[in-house]
Amino acid sequence: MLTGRREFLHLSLGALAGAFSRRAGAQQQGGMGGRIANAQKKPAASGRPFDAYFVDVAAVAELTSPVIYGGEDHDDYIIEANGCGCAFCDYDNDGWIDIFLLSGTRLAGAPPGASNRLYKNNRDGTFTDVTRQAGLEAVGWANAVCIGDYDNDGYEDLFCTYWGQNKLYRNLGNGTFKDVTKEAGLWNSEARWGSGCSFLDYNLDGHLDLFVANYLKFDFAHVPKPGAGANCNWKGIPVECGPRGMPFGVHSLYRNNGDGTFTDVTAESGLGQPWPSYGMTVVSADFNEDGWPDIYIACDSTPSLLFINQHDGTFKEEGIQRGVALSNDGGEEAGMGIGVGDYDLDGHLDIFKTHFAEDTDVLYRNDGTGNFDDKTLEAKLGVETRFASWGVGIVDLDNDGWPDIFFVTGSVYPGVEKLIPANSDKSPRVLFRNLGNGSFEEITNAGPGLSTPHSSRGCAFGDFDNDGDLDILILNMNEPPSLLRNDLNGTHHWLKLKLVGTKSNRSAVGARVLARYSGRTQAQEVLSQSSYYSCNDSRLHFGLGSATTADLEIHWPSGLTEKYPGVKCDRLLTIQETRGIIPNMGWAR
Amino acid sequence: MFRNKCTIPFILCATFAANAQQATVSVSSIEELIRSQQYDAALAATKAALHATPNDFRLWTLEGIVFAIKGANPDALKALQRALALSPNYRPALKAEAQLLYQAQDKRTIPILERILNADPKDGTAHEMLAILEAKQEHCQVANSHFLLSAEVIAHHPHSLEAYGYCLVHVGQPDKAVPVFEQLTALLPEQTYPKYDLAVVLVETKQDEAAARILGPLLTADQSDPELLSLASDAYEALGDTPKAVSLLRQAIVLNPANANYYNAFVVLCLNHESFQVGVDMVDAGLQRITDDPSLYISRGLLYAQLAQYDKAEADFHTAERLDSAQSLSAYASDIVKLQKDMAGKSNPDDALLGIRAQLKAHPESALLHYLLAKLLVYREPDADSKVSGEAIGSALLAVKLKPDLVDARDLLASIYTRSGQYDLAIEQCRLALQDSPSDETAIYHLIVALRHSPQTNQPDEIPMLVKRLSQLQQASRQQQTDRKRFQLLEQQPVPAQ
Repeated sequence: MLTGRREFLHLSLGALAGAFSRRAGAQQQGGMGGRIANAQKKPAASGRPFDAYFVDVAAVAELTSPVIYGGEDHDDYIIEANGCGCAFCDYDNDGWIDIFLLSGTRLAGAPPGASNRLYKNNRDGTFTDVTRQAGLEAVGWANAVCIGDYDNDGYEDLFCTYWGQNKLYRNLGNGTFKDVTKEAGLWNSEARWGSGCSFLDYNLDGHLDLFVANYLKFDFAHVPKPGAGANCNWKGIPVECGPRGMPFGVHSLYRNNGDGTFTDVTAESGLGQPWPSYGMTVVSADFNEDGWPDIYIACDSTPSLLFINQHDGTFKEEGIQRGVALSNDGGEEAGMGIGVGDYDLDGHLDIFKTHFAEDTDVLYRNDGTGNFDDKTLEAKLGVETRFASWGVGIVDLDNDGWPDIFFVTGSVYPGVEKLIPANSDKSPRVLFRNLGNGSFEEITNAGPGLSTPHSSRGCAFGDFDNDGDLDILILNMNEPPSLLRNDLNGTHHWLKLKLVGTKSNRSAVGARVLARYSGRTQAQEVLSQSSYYSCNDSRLHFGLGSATTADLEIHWPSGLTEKYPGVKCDRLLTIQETRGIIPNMGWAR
Repeated sequence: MFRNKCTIPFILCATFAANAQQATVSVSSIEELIRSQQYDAALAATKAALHATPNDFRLWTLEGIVFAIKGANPDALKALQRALALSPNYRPALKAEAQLLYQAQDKRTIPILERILNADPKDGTAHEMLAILEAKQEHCQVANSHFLLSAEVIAHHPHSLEAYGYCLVHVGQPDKAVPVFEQLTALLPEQTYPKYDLAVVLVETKQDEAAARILGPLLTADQSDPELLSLASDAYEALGDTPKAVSLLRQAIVLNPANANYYNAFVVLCLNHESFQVGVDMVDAGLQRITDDPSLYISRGLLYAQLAQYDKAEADFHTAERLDSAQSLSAYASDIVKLQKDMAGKSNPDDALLGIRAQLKAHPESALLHYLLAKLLVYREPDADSKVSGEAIGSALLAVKLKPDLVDARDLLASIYTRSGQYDLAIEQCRLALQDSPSDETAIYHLIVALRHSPQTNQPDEIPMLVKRLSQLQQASRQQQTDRKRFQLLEQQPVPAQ
């Protein structure tokens, strides 16, 4: 035997170098998949004032019940870690958005009072818990909420996903809801882990269909305890297992039959194969601007999915080739939340996706054909990698006409902080203001609502006090929610649009609006779900900067395009398809 | 590693050739004497004939041959050189001189063999001799070309096959070495070393099942060789049999606890299985025996970094650097850890950059450090309009110049070019990366992105094929990661006293 031969082949330092590059090459440990990225250097501050200022008024607004979800300082199972979403929704059509908060439970059973909650807006900065009278009391491992008027009766309905059975709540229009899951044909024959969901009119028949992502197949009997199996350690510390190593969920598409029932069309739509992805938040929007809604799913530790509508009842998955599945180096990322908006005012919907800690989040710029480019670094958004990030929006928080980016953060490993203090359970909210040149700068001094740390998950954007700016509702794990009131200074103008479909679905989900002001064009679309498992105020909000008018172009799902030139600023406009501007419902201003 | 026992029948060939070409009375009679082994008579006859015709190069050649047979090599060389002075391309004299010099492994053989091959490019024996001489000087690219042209000749020469296999591995073609070592194994079925060499290249080429089939009987016969145990550990780990891999490696360490390589191999196992503390403890044990091996400090530092114990990691890398400042891996590792520390918000963001620049002064030829500098600059120094700095591009280009197979640097270049809209340059880097590493997922993704943008895309089917390939690779990687994590290395806890 030639001693030393192997040394030649396997130079020990060479082998170590290989190990280095594999480890330094940036894979998350434990059950988390995805890369680890270097943070980008923070550029010098622009010095420009930021007019928005956020104060958490949840306590004053009487949103004081904690959101129960998993262990308070330790999780045994992944089902405790991911948390849930929330919504701004005007359930009673009084022109003031109300609040819907999902809730979880605990392994040992839910404490008294744990439930999803509906809070009615009292129009004076406070809310009243109307959960019980609305018939929405429910305890379980809830995940996501998506909103749409599936029966076109003029009232927004709620669909909630769960580990176990999802729930469709029909809004009866009298302040109450009815669980119609079974009669609508949405009852699962076995427990599933419903994650993101979205109403969408995929076949453009005027009735909202329903897409439901399923995260993974979870069974308490077969999932090991922390540290007891593969994918159950993080940085040498036992943590809850997964998602890596667990079987993928299968997503579902339900076609609305127009009579209050749905038909499962998953198989015939081409969505039924077990995509190798752990689907989380779902956004349906017309990304390639062909008039048909597509479906984008942020996927955890696996490639995200973009299903392009083929106009014949089927979809084709094109996430990788269209540039929205992976990081800029082709790595899988832990996709959780999705913000959709037009950050560069080119009239096309861009995407911001949030990820796990030690990775950048990602900004995908849409070229207008549904092909995207990763602009994270050019936009200087790679400066922030410290936190696991969740609910997100591309939203104009200072009304300067340039949509900003806001997201909430929080660890999935609450016990780890004791051993690695840098990995704190609670962390601040992150705000990037849009500089209007394709780049953003991080703002940390926009009020205590921004800087106070929490372990947050879902968040929703809307104007709860109807004062012309966007406020933020945030779901915190095992704490009461945050309600960040935007105390906006400055003289910027704005415009708010409430769309009502007639030929299209009544909620106008999928309606795309182009607002032209100051020589630029901003696109927005009415979405049933975005952020993280959450739903925003369905009234589209455009900051206009110094512009006092805007030209509006509405692309209704029915195919109809309507134009409204020279619309004056600083007001809510309700536009009904084919009928034009109609009186607002209960709008105070 | 080469055995200098080549017995290539060059000299007699030379005489027969001379006989065939120059049939004169004196020459043929001298040849007859040589054949009948009457060397003294042959020498006397030659000298007599030379007295009469001192410019007959054939006679000088025969004299050289007779001297060589008698072992008087200096006289033989003199005679042959005289012959070649009279007739520089006289092949029998060239071959005889080549044979004499080759026996002494004299580098002067090379130009002579080249002259022989100029006259007859198909001379397999000359190719073989030339290959061996070039291989000895580690000119493996040249050697391999001659081995290839002497394939029929070397098929039955174990030492030539061995040298060929070595050279193929040396130039990064272990896959081509597999049939060579298979041939060697078949030639020497009773010997162990050909099987071992074959197993090495099979492991290198990820033919782990085949490697295990060879290693199994070797292990059954003898478990006293730590090199064999360590190699088998590699193979079984690749096959997913981590318990066996760990057991074999532990055995290797027990047999030779003073070899740092085995501890480092153990660290690689610990990294793959996220069993970092176990690795630290094993390296600690190694450092008690081998206190001055830099690789052990590098290994432990890497493990500390994975445990987020960055200060300890950096201390180990500094120790490694102090112990061997010539190696650049500790500097690279130190920089990696600075980056990780930076990511964890535990260091001054510019520390890593300063560190790399300083280390590059000490290791200007380190491709890894140039690559790391480029990578860091991409993140750290975006200029006002978000373009990547020229220094970053220059550093990445230098990295691939120093180490053309550093695919990470090519991936970085592709990323930079994609960002700046130079899609054709990005495509070029991706294709080069994929030549060296066909499974490079990053290169495939960059290629998809660049092809989507490139006006030169003339293969519409390429993108869908690449998407499919990337998806398959990612699924395989995911499975591999999960398989690895099925096992975790644990230290046996001492049984508590009753």
